[in-house]
Amino acid sequence: MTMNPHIFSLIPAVALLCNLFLFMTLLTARKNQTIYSFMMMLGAFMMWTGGSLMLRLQMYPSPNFWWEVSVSGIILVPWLYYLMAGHYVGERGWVMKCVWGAATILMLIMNHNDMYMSRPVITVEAGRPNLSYITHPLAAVPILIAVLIFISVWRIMLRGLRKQGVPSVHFTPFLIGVLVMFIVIVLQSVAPVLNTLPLDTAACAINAICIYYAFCKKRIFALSQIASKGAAYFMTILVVCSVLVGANSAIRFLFDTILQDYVEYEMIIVAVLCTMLAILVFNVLNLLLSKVFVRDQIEREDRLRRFSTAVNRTLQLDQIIDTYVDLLHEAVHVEHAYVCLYHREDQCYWSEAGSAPIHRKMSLREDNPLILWLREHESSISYSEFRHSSYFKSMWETEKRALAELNIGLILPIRCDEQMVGITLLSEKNDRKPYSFDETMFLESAVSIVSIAMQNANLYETIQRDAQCDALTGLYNRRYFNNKMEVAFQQASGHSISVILFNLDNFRLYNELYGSGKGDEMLITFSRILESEIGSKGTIARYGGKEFAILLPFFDSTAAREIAERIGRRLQEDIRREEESTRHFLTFSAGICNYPTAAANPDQLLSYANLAVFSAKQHGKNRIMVYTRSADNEPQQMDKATIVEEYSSTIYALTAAIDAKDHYTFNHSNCVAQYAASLAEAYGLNGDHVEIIRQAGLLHDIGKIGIPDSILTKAGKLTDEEFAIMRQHVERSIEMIRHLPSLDYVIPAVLGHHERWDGKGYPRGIAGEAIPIGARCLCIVDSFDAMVSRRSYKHAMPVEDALNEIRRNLGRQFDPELGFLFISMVEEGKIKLLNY
Amino acid sequence: MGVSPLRFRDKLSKMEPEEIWKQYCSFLDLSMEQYMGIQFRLLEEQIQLFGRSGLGQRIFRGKIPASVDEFRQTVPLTTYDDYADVLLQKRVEMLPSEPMVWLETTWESGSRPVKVAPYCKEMLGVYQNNILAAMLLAASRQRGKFTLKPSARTLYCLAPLPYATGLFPLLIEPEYDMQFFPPLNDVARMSFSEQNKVGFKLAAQRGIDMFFGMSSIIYTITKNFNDFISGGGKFKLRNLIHFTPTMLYRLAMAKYRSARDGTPIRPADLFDLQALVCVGTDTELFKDELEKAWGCRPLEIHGGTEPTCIGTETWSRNGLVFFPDACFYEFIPEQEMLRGMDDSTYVPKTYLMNELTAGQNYELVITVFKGGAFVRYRVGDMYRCLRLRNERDGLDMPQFEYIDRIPSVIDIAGFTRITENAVRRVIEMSRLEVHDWFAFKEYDGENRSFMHLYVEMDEHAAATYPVTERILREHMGIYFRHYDHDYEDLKRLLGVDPMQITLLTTGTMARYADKYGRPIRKINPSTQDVVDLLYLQRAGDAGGGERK
Repeated sequence: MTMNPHIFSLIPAVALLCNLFLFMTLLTARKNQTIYSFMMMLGAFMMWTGGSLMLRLQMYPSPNFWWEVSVSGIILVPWLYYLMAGHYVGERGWVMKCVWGAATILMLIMNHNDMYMSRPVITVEAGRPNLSYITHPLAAVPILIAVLIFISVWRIMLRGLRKQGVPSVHFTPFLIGVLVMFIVIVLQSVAPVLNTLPLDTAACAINAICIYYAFCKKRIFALSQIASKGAAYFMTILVVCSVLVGANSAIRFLFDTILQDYVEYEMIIVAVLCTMLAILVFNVLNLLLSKVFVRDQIEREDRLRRFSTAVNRTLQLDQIIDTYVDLLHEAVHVEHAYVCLYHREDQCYWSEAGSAPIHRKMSLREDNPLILWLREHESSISYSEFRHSSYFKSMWETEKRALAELNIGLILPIRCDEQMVGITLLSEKNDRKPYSFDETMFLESAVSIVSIAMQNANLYETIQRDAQCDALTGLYNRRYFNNKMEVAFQQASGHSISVILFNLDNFRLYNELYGSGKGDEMLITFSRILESEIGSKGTIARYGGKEFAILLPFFDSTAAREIAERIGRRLQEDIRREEESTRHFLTFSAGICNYPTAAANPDQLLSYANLAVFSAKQHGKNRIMVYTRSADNEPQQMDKATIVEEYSSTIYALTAAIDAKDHYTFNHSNCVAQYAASLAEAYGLNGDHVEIIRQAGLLHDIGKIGIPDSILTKAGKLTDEEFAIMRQHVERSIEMIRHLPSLDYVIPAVLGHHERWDGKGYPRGIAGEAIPIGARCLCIVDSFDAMVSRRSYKHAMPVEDALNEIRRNLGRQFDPELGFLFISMVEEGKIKLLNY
Repeated sequence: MGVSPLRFRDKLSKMEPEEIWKQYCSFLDLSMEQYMGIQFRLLEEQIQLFGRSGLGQRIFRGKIPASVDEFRQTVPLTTYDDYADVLLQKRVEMLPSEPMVWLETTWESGSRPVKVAPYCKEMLGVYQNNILAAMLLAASRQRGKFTLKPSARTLYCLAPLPYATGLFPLLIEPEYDMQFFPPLNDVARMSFSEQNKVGFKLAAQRGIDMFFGMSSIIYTITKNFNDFISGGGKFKLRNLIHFTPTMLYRLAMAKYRSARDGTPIRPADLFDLQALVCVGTDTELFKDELEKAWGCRPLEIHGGTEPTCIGTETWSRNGLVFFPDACFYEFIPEQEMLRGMDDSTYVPKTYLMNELTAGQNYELVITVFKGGAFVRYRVGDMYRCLRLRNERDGLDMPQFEYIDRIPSVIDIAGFTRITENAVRRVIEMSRLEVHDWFAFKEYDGENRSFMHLYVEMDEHAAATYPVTERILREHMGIYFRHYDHDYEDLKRLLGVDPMQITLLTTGTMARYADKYGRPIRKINPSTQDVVDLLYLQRAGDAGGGERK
């Protein structure tokens, strides 16, 4: 065998280093059976190449030793390849592993006993060492076994391909590695000139690199592990040692000639230089490896850090979204990135523009299968992957088209407090490549950061909103409204500003009739009407309990009045949709004032609008008044006596109407009015209150005007349906009385006159002293008069019996104290019975 | 779109098998709740699509149902008669979506020869996905494990377009490298019989990896395998030059073993099949024998012209599962269906997939998704619900067994559909003086189906002319072949006589009607009714078969 000493040493050295380097990088990887078997195979490769190198260099202990190491490495390779292939495709079973293992051990023993080849003899010719050995016929045995093992490897891979479905691309690097080895062996056997080169060791290194690459592709470990510190240290040691060995003669020459005076410091100088060299090499290598293998990773980390700082610096959602979208564009080079946030009102995820003035508005319904997938899996998904999930099966074609039009490539959920508050939709990358694993990881990290930032922004927004808004309606509160008005005045610069104040009519009564819950619902409904009518044209606020204010910059009084009228119509339409017809009476009184025509500053604007509301109330409610400086708006205070006088004719007109319809009810109302007034007086109520109760007595059955005659004058017992209609007379009474402005003080008494002390009455079912005193009086005298009077369907009950009936129901139907007082007054003749 | 999606073939070589399985077969991991979620959601879409079309306006009577419940309550059950005027004239403007292809099938043999069904792009997309899923399942022996080469030589013994089975190769080919025997371009020029023969010849010469076929055809090939191999006994040496070396080797080995053991050559001796996929009636009866012969258990898939491909068996081959995205499924219990047959005014109740009972037989009612033209359509197929969930296979959805067509139709080997009208018409044409009759689907010793016609001749005719069962069979056979071309194919392709005749004593059927208070059903009466009637003929009125 002819030797080329330099190449023979250089090639195995490079191959050895290569294998050693790969081995070192694997030390830091998370191990599994496949990696262990690969490491073992690298070990065999190192024995092969290292033994070959040491043999060429005739290193200690002896060429024979290194010869045996090298050949043992070669013998071990097929079996270890078999083990690795088995682990790679997930092949089970141990029989063949043991068979080939035993065969390998046998071959090692035979090799140790020189049964294949003689030990090499090294001779030096013309200064160049020559290696020669004699091959025995038995050398065919290990070759045959190696071929058989490789056939087994081939079968394992084929089986993995066919039966276990391992993709064929996964085998390509293996095939290339084996092919290179095969070609080298064939070339060496057919072309003796090549036999002088140590191509086998080079092929061995190439094979190792191919396997390494295959493992990286299959994500058994990451390529970035090459850039580990361990690898850098290892390389540093190799470089420094090589320099030291290579420069040995030069150093010696230097100290023998030029630096003779410093020869006693030789050790120190060399050591310091070596250390400096090691530090330098390590840093350079570390930098180089990082630049080559983990550059992207470093860049991404850096970008994330900057992004985190930027989004944590602001509490404005728009700014956060802007920064986030910028990051997405910059980091993954996408054409479009959409951030969709959840809107509870319509249960959709709507795309947010951030601060961009123009953007594509799109939404995904909460029941969209994509949303369901993201909610369940809580991780990102590429659209192509989603397309193959079972969730995609329930996608509508329109939904598919919408996402296809946006060219969506990746979707990431944004989660806060276990809720999916938003999603990020990324279009396909500009280079049309799929999102890599590293990119997805990066984006998920970015989403985590943005979700925290959004959470903070939401929290801030909530607090800010709470401070500015009314909790019930969500409208702005009085303070915010006033501030806003100040700002509007500052910016007005001569433009018109109008304010509309709405005050709901009879809202206290509405609450009493239907409860405060229903009242709150009505306030919310009214708020929604205002919002839908005003939109972004003005600022709406809940100014008081039942007061709402609208600030309308650039609006004059006429336009403001049109808006108020439209709101009034909307309110009535909305109320009409409600089932209970009695809600029809909710109206509002509105006052409008305008700057600069009627007011000169914000205080005047509000104050005059208030005056206009007051004026509307005074003029009969349910109207819109525009404040002018004329006398019309001056409030007119009326006392109760004036009111009674003003409306007495109306009261009598109404009672006359009931008389015409049902004479009994007219007389009954008169009697009840008188009895109730007497009772109230005896109970110690003041004159005004007695007068209210008397008027309430007169009007308490006024609603019977609306009851059909057939029911009102029916001779027999009322059916359930008829009784239900009859019960409506209370609410009908209210419906009529409320149109008599300033007489609403009688309403509580009228409203409650069918309530019972034990709470089983109607319409509200209130009990005890929750029932207004006037109503309690009316209840007793109304029942009494009904019992003692004769009706078409019954005879008059004797007074004694009627009083006994009242007595029996004290504490159940009637107020015990008032009832007892009434009985005693009748018995003592303090109440004179009226006959009709 | 950006990155063009990988073809199925490329996925096989580039992707992990688990991933491929997940892409196509993940519907088998669905819970019943998730399954119904898909059903309801796609029905919601279909209601909107269908409601906007002219056909939809007509079937929905102008009001689009707002919910699934309303849909089931207000939309009537339909049959092909409800669509015939629109579909037979191919009035595209009346449809919910633009058809890409029109498929055709037998409606009622003879008088109403064909019915057609439109397929739009979206439906074809779902169809393609589902047929690829079925192919994966056909190549699997356990969940998630399958053996499928990136390309496959396929023997194709299914009817070409415009029949529904003709869609399979068209949908598979763009995704998967399949070498069909015979090549698809040639199929159009061949009769079905010729297609099968040429296909098998090529398969024997070059080997196959897959076999798609009608159960009855596969069974016939299996039964006559040795004849097929030897080319009907005319063995010629020069034929061997067309064989690949592998097939020559296999053939030689198979012949050697056959001669040595004195057993016939089995298909498994020649072919190493990855998948055997069969469609059609009576598959269940042939499965064991086919498995023994071919070395792999056939996988049954189900569908039709109107409903698309709706069901497939899984790796364990013990029951069909229905694809959740093909149709909305409703089921009429057998008793309800029979009640409806007896009383045409009765509207049978339907049940959903999550409301079924194991062991019960059901008639299938479908609403085709993705712009299909059929809603609440009675397909005319009967299924038995085998189980509501399969714990062994980890399936949380019902599995079914295809039983047959509904009793008013006799389906023989999936080739022909004989109805009462068809038999009556044939009897009229034959001018035989048949007094009364009924027909019943039966099976011979080899599990092949045939129509058993029970006939009562006119008393006068019986006395005047020679009337034997053979004469009647041959006479009526001629008219059946004339009236129904599919019927003719049966004899030619399968080599079976699809009809047997039994002469009943005149008056037997009248006596049956007297005794049981109702006439016997003309097509497919219950087995008990037939037994009772035959008993009545043999034993007169004395005893036997007494029941209410």
